[in-house]
Amino acid sequence: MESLSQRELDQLRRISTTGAREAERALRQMTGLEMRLDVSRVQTLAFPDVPGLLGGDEAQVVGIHLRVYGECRANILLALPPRAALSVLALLFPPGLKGLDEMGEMEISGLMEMGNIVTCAYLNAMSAALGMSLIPSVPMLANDMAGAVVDVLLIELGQRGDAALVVQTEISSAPHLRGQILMMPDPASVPRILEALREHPVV
Amino acid sequence: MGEFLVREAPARLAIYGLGSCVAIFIYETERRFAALAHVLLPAHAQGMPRGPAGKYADTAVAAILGDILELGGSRERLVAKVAGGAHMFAATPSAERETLGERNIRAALESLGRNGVEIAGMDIGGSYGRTIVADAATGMLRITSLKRELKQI
Repeated sequence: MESLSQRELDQLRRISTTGAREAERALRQMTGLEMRLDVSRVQTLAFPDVPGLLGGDEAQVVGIHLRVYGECRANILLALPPRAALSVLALLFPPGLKGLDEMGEMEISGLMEMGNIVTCAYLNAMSAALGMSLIPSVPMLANDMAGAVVDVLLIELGQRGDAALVVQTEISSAPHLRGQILMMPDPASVPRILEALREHPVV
Repeated sequence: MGEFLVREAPARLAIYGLGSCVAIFIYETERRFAALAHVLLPAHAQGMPRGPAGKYADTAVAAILGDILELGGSRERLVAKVAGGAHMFAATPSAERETLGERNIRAALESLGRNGVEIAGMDIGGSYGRTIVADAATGMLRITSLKRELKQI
């Protein structure tokens, strides 16, 4: 994988933070709750270390996954701990559920739709900042162990290497509503992103 | 992930949170050598950088057999078990003919077949993650998941 300079990492972090701000705004509008947004982190991780970002291999997460097509290929995952997913469901479909195993088609669609809105807000802002078209796929949902949820994303990167460039942002709201956005650009798209960063420098 | 280990009894080998990747377990029944690979892909693609042997179904099986034979194991006493290869995001219909998980399973079974290793157990497919703990003393795999009962193969 092409290694990124400190300045490039910094720019990618800022662009992701801009995206996350839009995602946070969308989530705030949907839920009516005040949200806290952490500055994005950009790091290159060996595959086995990626599930650690979500609490470890066996930690249960609800993951909403979208593929990104267009001038840059990437995978984007919105990961919610079970309590956060239940909080979102209680807001979308009051009074909500007792446990995630009670989820039916309506709840799954609700979470996918929420993931779709949040990640599209993120992508739109990135797209504007980079001057690139970024086209999301339909959302896909999995509710399982973090290792199992992210391994599909890693398999897609696996043919080209053993490490993933991960752009991570946390959005949270008291008390239990918090989620991570993980964006993993395809290695072949990283040079494109760097070029776009040179053409559209973030100050 | 992408690696394999070979250990002699008593020992336990584990993979936590396996999704569409596939676990290939090979056991030498008399010397009680246990090998577990956490395979990501069916095979190395031409023109791409080559990863460790344990990353691909074809090279993982060959590398494990090489190690077991080198330790003094016999080809005649090998059995294999295969687990994983799930389709994790099954809540959304997929247009793909074969999922990543299915491709990994097929490659693992083909590779074991080519090498003449008998398949003694499988727990494959579905749309849920698995944790696998292999016991070199018995050659058994304990498979746990969030949504299913404990399974032993």
